[in-house]
Amino acid sequence: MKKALPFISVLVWGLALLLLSTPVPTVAGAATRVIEQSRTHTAAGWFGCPVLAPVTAVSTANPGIIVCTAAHGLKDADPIQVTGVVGATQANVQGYAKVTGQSASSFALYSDAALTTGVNVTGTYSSGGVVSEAVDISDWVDADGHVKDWTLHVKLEKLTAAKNLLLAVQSSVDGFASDVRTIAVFSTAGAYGAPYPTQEWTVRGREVPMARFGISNARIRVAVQGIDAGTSVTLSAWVE
Amino acid sequence: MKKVLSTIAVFALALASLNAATRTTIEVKRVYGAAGNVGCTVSGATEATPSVVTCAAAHNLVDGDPIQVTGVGGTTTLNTVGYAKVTGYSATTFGMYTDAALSAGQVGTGTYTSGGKVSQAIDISGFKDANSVVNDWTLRVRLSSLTAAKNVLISVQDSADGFASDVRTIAVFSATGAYGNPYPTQEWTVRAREVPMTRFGITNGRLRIAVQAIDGSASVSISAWIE
Repeated sequence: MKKALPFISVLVWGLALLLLSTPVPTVAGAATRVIEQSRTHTAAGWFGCPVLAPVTAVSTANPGIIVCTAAHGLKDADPIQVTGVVGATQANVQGYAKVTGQSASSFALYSDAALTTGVNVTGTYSSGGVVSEAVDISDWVDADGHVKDWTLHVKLEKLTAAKNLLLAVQSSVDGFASDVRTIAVFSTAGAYGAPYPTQEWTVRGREVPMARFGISNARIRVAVQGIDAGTSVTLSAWVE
Repeated sequence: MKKVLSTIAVFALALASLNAATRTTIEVKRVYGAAGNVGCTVSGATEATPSVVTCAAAHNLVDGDPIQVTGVGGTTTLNTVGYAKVTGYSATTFGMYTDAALSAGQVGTGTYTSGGKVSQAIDISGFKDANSVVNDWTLRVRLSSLTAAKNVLISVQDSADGFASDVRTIAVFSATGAYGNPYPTQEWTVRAREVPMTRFGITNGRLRIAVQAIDGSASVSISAWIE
């Protein structure tokens, strides 16, 4: 028994070191909500796209395929909200994107993060539609229904040297169809390699009383408002 | 004692003159009762000098406000920068002038057909020094009053096309009204080095204040300036 203790201790320390040395932010944990993790943006805009045409599906086993007018930047299981599609209105839901097996400008629409239940789009597409990254913050309340305190972190992991970036965090209660509020803005110039060894901004709940945390249908997203040409930025964002 | 007083007087004078020389006013204690920016959607314009612009709703402009009109169909001479004269007009109309002194009227040519937007537009294109390097700037936004226990979300936006389609939010402030005047005059400051990607010193660079959201039955009084 005595011999086993130091072994366990080494194991624990090793595990702790492993966790500490993880290059991405430690965003795991019950109270943490990831908005994006080490995502790269090369142009202004948010993850999502204007809809070109969803291909009609016939069953939940064959989820609706949304075709975009440009690359959407989404990855598997990204929470999204589709709004304003005329015709194939079943696509206007909160869902999750599956990009594996699709092109850079199309994705399959699922109703669960595990990507097992597809959204059955039966109508015929006629026009319109916008897809946006939409991380749910409507449940950010305590047991008494009060808005919980929150801290928003935005971490810049890489930015092309000497290039500028203007970043916004936006909230909405209509899936970013027309109601878009910018609740935080960050700007920086890339220099000294990875801007300044990992630049990180923090916004606290008490600083922005008019954010939508804990409000019905509230969603949050990251949007690049401006980025210099020939520039790429890699960032992570999360709420805790 | 006399010497101390005169020193203070000189110091105060120096401070006042510094302030006067470098300050660009955005607005002075303007009251907002609803979300939106100063300006409006255009619903009509006269073929006259100065041209009188009719808005679809109250514009919240004051005399001498720098504005930019975009997208007006028909009376296209109005699609430019100018200044608003509101004295003598209703809450939804204003006379458009080409100078801040409101002495030279903007000529309206062509019959108004459709469209158009008016936005407050503070010129920040000249914020550069003799070597065309962007000048340092400090933006201040001061809450003069806010209805108790009500929330407001204020943004500062810039544009290079008169806010027609290019609108970037460069700063955001939010507050809750309490203890009378939020907290005895709440003030926020943003420095140039914090936001390298603004349009200060950029061709056609313009700035405005926009209330992104405000609680119902609430009003906020905002002052803002650049120094």
